[in-house]
Amino acid sequence: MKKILIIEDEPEQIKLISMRLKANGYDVTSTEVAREGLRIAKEEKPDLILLDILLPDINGLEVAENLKSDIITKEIPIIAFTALGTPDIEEQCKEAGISDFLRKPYESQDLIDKIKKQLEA
Amino acid sequence: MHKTNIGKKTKIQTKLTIAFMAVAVFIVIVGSITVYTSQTVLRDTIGENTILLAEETLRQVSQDIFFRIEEMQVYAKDQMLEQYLTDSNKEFEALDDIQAYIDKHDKDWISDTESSKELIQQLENNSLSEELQGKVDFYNNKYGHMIFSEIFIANKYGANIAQTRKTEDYYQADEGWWQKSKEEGFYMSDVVYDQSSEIYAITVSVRIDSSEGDFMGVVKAVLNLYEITNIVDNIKYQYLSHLKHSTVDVKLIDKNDKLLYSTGDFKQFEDVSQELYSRYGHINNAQHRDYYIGMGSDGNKKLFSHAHMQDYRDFKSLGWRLIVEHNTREIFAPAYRLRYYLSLITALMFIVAFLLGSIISRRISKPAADLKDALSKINEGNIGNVPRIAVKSQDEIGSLTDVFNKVFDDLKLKTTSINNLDKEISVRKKIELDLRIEKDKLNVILDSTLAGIVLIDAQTHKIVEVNPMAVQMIGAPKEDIVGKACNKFICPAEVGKCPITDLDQGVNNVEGVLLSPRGGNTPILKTVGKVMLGDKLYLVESFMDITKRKEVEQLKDEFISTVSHELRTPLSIIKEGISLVLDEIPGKINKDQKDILQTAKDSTGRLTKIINSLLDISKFEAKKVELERTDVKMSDLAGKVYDMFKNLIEDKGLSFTLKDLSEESMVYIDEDKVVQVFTNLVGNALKFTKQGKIDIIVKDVGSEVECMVFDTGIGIAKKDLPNVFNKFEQFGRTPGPGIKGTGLGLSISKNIVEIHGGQIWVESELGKSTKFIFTLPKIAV
Repeated sequence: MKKILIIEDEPEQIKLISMRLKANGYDVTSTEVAREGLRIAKEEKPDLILLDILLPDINGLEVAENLKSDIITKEIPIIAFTALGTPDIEEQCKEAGISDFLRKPYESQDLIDKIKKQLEA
Repeated sequence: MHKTNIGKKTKIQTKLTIAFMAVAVFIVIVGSITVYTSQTVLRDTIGENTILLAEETLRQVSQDIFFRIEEMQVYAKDQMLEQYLTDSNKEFEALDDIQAYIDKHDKDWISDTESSKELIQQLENNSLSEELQGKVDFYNNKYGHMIFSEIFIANKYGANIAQTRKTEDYYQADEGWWQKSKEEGFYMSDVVYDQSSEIYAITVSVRIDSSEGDFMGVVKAVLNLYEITNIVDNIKYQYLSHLKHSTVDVKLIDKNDKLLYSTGDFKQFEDVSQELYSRYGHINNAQHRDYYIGMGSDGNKKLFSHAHMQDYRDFKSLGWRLIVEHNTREIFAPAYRLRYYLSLITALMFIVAFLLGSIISRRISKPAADLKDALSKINEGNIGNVPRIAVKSQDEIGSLTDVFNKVFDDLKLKTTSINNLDKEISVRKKIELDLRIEKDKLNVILDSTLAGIVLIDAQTHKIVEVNPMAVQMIGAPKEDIVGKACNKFICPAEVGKCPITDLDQGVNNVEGVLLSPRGGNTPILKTVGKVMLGDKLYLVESFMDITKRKEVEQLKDEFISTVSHELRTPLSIIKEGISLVLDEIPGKINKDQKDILQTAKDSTGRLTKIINSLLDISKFEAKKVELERTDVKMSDLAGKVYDMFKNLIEDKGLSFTLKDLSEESMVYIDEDKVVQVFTNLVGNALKFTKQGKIDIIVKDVGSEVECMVFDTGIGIAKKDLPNVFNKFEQFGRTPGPGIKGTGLGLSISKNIVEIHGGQIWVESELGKSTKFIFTLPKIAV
């Protein structure tokens, strides 16, 4: 069973996504704190990371960069999602090494499809 | 001006004219005097001449008579005559009664007896008589007329001894002439008419003396006046033949004022004393000689010249007078001619003098007058109209005119220059004034404009001029700004990298910064223009402080970010929550629950759209949208749209068709955006059409592709058509639940189309149909 790490600052969001993911057969770990997320990522080496861009402590992009520059977590595909509407956010994500992107609110099915795609890659 | 000219008529001309007039008048006067005196002189001369002529004639007459008498006197010395007389006297001396003898013969003489006849014959035929007759005949023959009509001789006793024809008496001693002759030696009678000869004659008798001086007898002759009258006639003849004068009449008058002879008609021995007196007054003076001009008896004006006979040698004057009458017309003809010519000449001289005077005075005064006029005009300041004066005279005035012309030309030049200068000055002044006004205008504008304006020398990039607003915005004193390089304040470009002059970029409503000396940069919106002032290139930068705008933008961005984030996050949760339940992940749900949840999920979808639309607008407004253009085949795109909506539309019970007339047209577009436009339009069509159809038509129209969405919906009112593409406008919106839109779709569609370089518009008929049409530029093949 694949493991997905959710780094997201809205706990309700975590709850719902976890429910969905679990229903699709994924193991879910989550944290609201980016730093914590980094640690978990480095320690547990999930198969995929769902990353919210707008995070209280560290900017999601920085987290992504961090993850991508760390040899341990380098290979882990990251899917970012955010409520931010800034147009170049997608670009910035790409530059940070993020593999895919979702805008909130998103279609649940989209999420599942993208996860599948990343994990199969 | 003219008045003064007339009033003050050129004095020279007047003077000259007067002078010449004076000369002319003088000439006339002199001429008249000349004429008059000449007339007088001539008249006197002519008169004198005629008098002389008369005198000469009278002298001739006297001479004639004198010589005739002298002849007789000579004859009186004749030998034969002496002999005869001596004999006769001796005979008579021998008589006893001489007186008786004489009486007897005297009686016999006048009787017609035989003895008288014999006596007469004896007297007439004796040789003395023959001699006398011979004399008479001689003259007769010589002259063709009688000189002596009769000559006879009487002895000392008074008895005829010889005669050329029978005398009246035999005895003569009782006659006055005999006695006079005896006493004085000579006697001449007045002119008488001699019956026997039928002539007018003078009787002349001469005493005959012996050589011892004793009285012997008297010889008497009757002188034909004819000689004398001939002499008188000669005057007339002379005049006629030499001078062709035909009006001469000469009158011979004896000492008793008796007319002896006249060349004209006359009555012999007429008493003309009255006439003489009336004409001449007292003229009995023997010396009187004169002429008189008066009216003749024939009504003509005549010259009457009068002369007395003078003594001729020892021959006492007979006291005769000669009057020569002459029509003045004739005799004074020379005078008249002279008068005529003199008058003519005088008149001519007068005219010439007058004309000359006029001409010369004009010639002299005109240049002067012209000069004066010209100078007056100059004085008036009228130098433009003054002509050059032609130099006509060679005198001082001519020279003066010459000089004047030179001075004048010079003056004209100078005045023209001055005038031009004046004009220039006033033009310049006007220009200056205008310039100042423009400058003031400019300053007012520059001072009051809210934009900062900086003038930069394009070559040196030094700031040449700043307006107050710029100074304020830069925040340094003006003197610190002017003369400095522009990249110290205006823009942060490096030397050599000026976007305008070096990189050839246009700066038009571009955001930039003002570099403040205090640090901190002011965001500005600037435009830079190039301008040539004189021959130098300048850059004109004008900018507005957009700090506020920037702040607002930033706030807006932040706001939108925040809002969208804040909206999206809960929305995401809602959506996810609903989805989870709908997908029955937490557990199964019944149909009703499903429906309800589905409705809710749809709503979240709408909300999402709204939020996205809001974001889109702000993006478009900031023009931050970048199109991701690719080559797209129009047909494909249209097909995609068709597929998207097919079910939806047909489910509503409407017909949906796609007409592809694009003929393989390719367009270079951001496909997603254009699809968004189609989505918007078809979505609207769907919303507002209850029955009928919806068509999509794509058509190749040359350089563009035309895309049309046609519906048979409720249409749009004419008054609303212009506002269709405005933000937040909604039409045909029925209150209450029903079709609801954002009101932003068309505005966004318009933006997208226009960014692609196309156009969008609408045609509609209320209640019938609507067409939305937009164009996209084709890729040229």
